[in-house]
Amino acid sequence: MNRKFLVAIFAVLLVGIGACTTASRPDLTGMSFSSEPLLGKVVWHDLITEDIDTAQKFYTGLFGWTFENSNGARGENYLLARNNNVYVAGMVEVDAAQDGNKYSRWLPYISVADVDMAASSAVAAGGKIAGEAQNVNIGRVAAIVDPQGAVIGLVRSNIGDPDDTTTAAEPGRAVWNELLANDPASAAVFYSSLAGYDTHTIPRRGGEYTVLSNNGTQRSGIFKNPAEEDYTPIWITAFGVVDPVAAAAKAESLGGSIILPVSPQFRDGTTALITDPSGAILVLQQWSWNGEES
Amino acid sequence: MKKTNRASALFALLLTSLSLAACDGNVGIGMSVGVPVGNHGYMSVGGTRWH
Repeated sequence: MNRKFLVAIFAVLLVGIGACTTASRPDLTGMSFSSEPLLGKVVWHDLITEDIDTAQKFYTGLFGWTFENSNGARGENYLLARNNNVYVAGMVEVDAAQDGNKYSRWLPYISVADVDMAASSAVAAGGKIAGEAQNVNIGRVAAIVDPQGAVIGLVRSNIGDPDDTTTAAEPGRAVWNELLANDPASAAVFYSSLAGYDTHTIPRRGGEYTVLSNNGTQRSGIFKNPAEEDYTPIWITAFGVVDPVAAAAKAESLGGSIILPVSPQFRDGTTALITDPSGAILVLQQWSWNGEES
Repeated sequence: MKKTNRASALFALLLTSLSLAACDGNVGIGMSVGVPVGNHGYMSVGGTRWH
């Protein structure tokens, strides 16, 4: 009897390990990671969506991503997206709200040294907590609302951050993140304090653009929201495409919407601003693939 | 003998728990934030203001 019991226990063990290694364990062989956190770098993007099935079809058609099932922070339906051999994003499903508000968004995660301390300092500086600090697959994470209202994620990875070679700009990968702020100057001060950025404001296309850098590497940007009046600021993620006109048309054919089409007046014809079928905003950005925006 | 069996069973259960815990993997986050996106129709006001 005891012997049978032991055999049964070991059988469960073997089945568990087998299922783990063949179905659920991410294959990271195509990625390399830094030994130390790349502070200030956006190291992960999650799509929070009210329709994960439609989102999966949309991004498969638009970028050619493939997907693997994983587990969300609280057991939600969660997918990992791969662009060739690199994990580039996640998709977490939320219930459609009954209050008429839309919750679908791309959420970038900035690497910080200490998630809890960064979240506390954000609150002390006038921000709010959007997602309590917690342990998840990648490590420890939280999300905050900055003092002007934009939501951003914070992460400290257990295995180091994907290095700049792994995340080098390619079609179908996030190539840039930028904040549309009502007050870019105060936003720059806030994020500089949050993630240790060096800030550099430059004249660009008739206005000003603030670049957030860390150790000489440009990580993201801030500019004044394009309206005359104040709106809730938002972080927007740009994904690399070869041909933004064709990509925007493809997005539209897959159920997305074009907010701003490609035009010479809009960032020299390199950019389209779209939403996916559930309303999440993203930029389609032509990239020269040598590290420079086209 | 009984003690040995019990220890073996506990060890096996521990290993099973650890292996299943590791199944979650080490990429991905999957955290929801309950913050409405708001109306961003203003973004279409004109590309010239996208500096």
